[in-house]
Amino acid sequence: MAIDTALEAELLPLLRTRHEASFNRLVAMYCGPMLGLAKSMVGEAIADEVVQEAWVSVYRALPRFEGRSSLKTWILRITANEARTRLRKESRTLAFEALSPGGAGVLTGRFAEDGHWQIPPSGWHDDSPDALLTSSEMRNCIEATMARLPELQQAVFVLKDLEHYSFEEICNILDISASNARVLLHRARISLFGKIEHFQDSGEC
Amino acid sequence: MLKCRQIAEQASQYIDGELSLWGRMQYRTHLMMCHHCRLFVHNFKAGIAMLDRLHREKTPQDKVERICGHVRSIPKD
Repeated sequence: MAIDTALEAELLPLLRTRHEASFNRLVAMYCGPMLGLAKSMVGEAIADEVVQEAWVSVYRALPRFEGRSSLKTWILRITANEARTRLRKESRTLAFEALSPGGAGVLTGRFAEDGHWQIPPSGWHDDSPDALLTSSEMRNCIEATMARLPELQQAVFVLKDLEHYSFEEICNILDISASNARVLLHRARISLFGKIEHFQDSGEC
Repeated sequence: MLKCRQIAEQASQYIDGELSLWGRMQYRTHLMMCHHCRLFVHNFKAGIAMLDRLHREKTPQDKVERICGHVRSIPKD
């Protein structure tokens, strides 16, 4: 996702002085991406509370912002930290490496011992995104599958494939290593792929 | 020579452009010869594109507005 560096640079001096109109502008710019990230980590129900808490933290910390990353990356990092704090309070831990059903497991059994496909991929009836989305059952199924992914898998997937951040930004926001980010992303993608394929084959979620 | 299993394992690295030049050549060579893996990579990408589309359609602007409106009204002292 493009970061408007020029606009950030313009707003920053005003933000440091707690200029209210500039803060409101910042809110309008980044509230959506924050909500998307929070939702992926804590679920829909409490995502808005996390976002609001994150804004309070952002507001307090702004005068100390050092500019080592873009403002947007920094704000999303604060959001991710608020989400973690919230999960800890609710005694839920981030399923860091958790292999929920899915991840690499989705394709287990699909390959023969020699590494060739035993159960090859199936041809999808119509694989354009529009066609895949015409079925409301498919939509619901995919949304439910997303929501069930472990938090960090979801967060990495949302940031990389839906919000189009670079790996460097993602590592910075979520405070994970680059290799972890890549593993988590691949697992999330494979899980989602497996579910779509299953739905295409069986018509069921 | 890569096995089909490795094609699946490296699919993300391939589509993210993270394989080395040599790795990419090996990957492409396998795809040229194996229609199962071509189909796999094609569908793997189609799934991601579908989720991206769904995400863009679904960004709940009204909800964003509601929460952002609330943030603006937080007392700032």
